[in-house]
Amino acid sequence: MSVTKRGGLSAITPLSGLACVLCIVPMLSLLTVALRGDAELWPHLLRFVLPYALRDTLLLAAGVVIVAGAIGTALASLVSFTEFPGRRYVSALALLPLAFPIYLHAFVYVELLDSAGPVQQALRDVVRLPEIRSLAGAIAIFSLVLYPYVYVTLRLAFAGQHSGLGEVARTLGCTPWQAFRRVQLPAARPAFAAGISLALMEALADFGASEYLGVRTIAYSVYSTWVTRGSLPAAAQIALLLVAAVATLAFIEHVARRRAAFSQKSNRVTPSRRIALNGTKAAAAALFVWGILALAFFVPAVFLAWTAAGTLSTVRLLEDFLYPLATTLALAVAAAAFIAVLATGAGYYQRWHHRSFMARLLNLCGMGYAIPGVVLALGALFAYTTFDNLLDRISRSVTGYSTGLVLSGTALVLIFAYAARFFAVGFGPVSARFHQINRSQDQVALTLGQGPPSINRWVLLPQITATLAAAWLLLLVDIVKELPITLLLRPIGIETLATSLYGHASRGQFEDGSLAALAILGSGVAAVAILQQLIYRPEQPLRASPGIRKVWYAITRP
Amino acid sequence: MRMTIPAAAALIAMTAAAPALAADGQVNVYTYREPALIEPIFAEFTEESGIKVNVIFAKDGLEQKILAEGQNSPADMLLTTDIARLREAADIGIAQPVASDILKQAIPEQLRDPGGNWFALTMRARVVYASKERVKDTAITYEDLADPKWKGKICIRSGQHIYNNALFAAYLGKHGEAETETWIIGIKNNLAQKPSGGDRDVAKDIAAGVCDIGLGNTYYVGLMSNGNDEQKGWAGAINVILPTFKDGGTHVNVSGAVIAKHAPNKDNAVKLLEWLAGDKAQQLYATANYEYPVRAGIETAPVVAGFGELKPDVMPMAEIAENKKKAAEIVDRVAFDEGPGT
Ligand SMILES: [Fe+2]
Repeated sequence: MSVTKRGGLSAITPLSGLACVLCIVPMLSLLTVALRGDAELWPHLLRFVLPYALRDTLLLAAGVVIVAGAIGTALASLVSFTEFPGRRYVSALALLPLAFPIYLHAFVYVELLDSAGPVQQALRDVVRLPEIRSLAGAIAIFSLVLYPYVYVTLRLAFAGQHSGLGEVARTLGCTPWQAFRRVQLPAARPAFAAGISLALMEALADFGASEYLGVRTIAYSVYSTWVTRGSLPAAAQIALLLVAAVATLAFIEHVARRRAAFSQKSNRVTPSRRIALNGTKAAAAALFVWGILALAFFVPAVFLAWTAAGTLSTVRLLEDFLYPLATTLALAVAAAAFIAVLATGAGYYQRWHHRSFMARLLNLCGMGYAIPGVVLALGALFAYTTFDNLLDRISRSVTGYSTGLVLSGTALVLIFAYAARFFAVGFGPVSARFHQINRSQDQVALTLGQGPPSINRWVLLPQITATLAAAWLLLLVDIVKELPITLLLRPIGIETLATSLYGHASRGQFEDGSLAALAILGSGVAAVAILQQLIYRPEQPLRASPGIRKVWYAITRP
Repeated sequence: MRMTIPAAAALIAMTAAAPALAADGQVNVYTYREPALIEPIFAEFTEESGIKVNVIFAKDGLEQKILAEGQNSPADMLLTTDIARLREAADIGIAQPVASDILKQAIPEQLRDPGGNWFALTMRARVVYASKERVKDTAITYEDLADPKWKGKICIRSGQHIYNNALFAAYLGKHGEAETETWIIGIKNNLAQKPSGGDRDVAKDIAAGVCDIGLGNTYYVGLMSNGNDEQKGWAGAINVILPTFKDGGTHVNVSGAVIAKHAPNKDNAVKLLEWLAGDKAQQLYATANYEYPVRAGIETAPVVAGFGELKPDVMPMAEIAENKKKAAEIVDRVAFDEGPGT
């Protein structure tokens, strides 16, 4: 037993060290590429490329803040404070759009809504809808997929507010609407900021969907500078500037949240009484909420299912579906477990060594979430192939035996690159959970003669298992959806659902990939459903322990 | 106990990968060509030769990948479209020369590297899709596309896409930088909408009445007319006009292959390359992919033959590739992708 315990402790430092290395290595390798120069391209980029990219990025970001923010706020408020037909179900279903990769949503809506799609053709003589492949279309699609981040943080914030908050305001003469607008909504501002910042990070890191919709953001200019302007160094330079910008944003947000943290503390959870809406208002609320759910989830999901059903007779079940499905699941399960273990090690490490340099470094590792996947993939490619070739050369000269591409020739490279990109998704919840567990517990255990290993095992571990399960599920969803890293780094023989879908879609034969698309969506839905069980049940909203609520809050802010 | 989990993860990862380096009866192909296009051709090759073809498809970065993998790269062959990409593969040193009489006989001289580093396997022309309903013209030059008579009537994909980039680079070789810039501005002013989508979307938009003419590659017309009902409709709504330069022919680009410098299965790769230049594969390229075969004596698909006789422009491929960067800069400079009215 004692051997196991010692092993447990000694694994912590290497694990968090590994987490740091995996996160930082792709960045360093990008930096070395960036340092290779190509300064002569910059006047051109500054004059003709970046202004447009910056404009599109800012407009897209502003649009997402407004639209996703409004949808998320409206849904969370209606579900938290009012009663209308179907409210209970909405409470459970509103998270489902998270299961959609943005690129899939974009594919579906372009199929449905562009000039030759069924909707425009039916309305041909009546009205011409605005073009879906446009900035406005991109804002709409991004917002429909990303609003759940705002929705969930706000719901938890509303539920965590002292129930007296609204009542006091009302006894002071406010109408329920005034109480909501002037007291309850402003009190939830930090939660709104947390939700929207995650939505923004995801929007900024995306490049596939926005490119497909004709919106050329900074992420796209990184890519086009590499591919069409033929300069990898300049592309790496833009990418690093993007990372710096996101890091600054994240830092500002972090500081703002720390200031707001005090107003958030509440141990008692007594949900405010909900106001039953009357006839017209209830109908309007139900129409709005169900309309959003339909647009964000049911319409595209049904469309996918219907398309997939049409291909069942012709699809090659084994090559196009079962094999990629098995690969995807094996890869995602393993990678999510690996990242969750790294996150746990890092969480323990931060708890015991919170002043150390590495503990601070670990907070920076979350940046990977904001880097476009294709950029991170390039960084990882250069780094791991360099390592492999070095190892191979050494091994050949010493032992005469070739090690080949140990990392980059196997699925390990994918797992390591996913770790760089998604570390925050695992580490955010774990570290938030550790913050929540009172340090006096450690002190008491230490005085009782227990060493850190057994405290880790017997005191802390039981308290973080639910969090770990939630983090693992979130990681699973993200990895199943992931495309650009998998596409570039996969070794020969690996075909996932996402790459298979992409192969078909890039040939204009989206239908042939619709079964794979449906499976991506299905695994996302399953994970979101289990997650909801971990957080709350539809019948007793937000009855879960404050611990898990806080964790869910934290999950949504890497 | 905690270490068992990452160990298990690593184990699963290792078994999920199928490391296929040098192996008898195998060949590893990195490709930008869409999987469904090339799989039937590879299947035929495997049937005949008994050599299994492992394929990695991606949209970008494969040259970088081969370069980074270095001498341990499993890649035997890079199969790609676009002349500039083929040349770049040779330039950055990931190709190795192949001396094969079979290839020399099958592929005309101007369609392969004199040094044997790259070989074109098919040709495709960049042509005008024109609405059957609304366009009566039967001949058109590339220069005409800037004519104000087309104002608000042209659809095109991004000016930075390699297909357009190569056409613009060819124009630049004929007319010089200043005139090319004026021409590209002219096209931009004629656009019906912001450049977006792919070549199929151009046909789709013409069918939907968004625009009257557009630029697209020849083979898409074949693929669409053999696609689902929706796509058949798009193909049915357009005529293909083979445009020419005022004094020259039609702009063609190629698809082709290089043998990777460190190919672990070089013999198999050369066998595959020779097979791809052979009668059977060339016929498949022509009939299943609607491309123009490089090998003499192979018939094009009936749809493609229906476009009329192709007279490829004679500008050397090398010159087009060299103008590529300048053409991309002009497109940036005139904010082509911002669309009309900007
Ligand atoms: Fe193409």
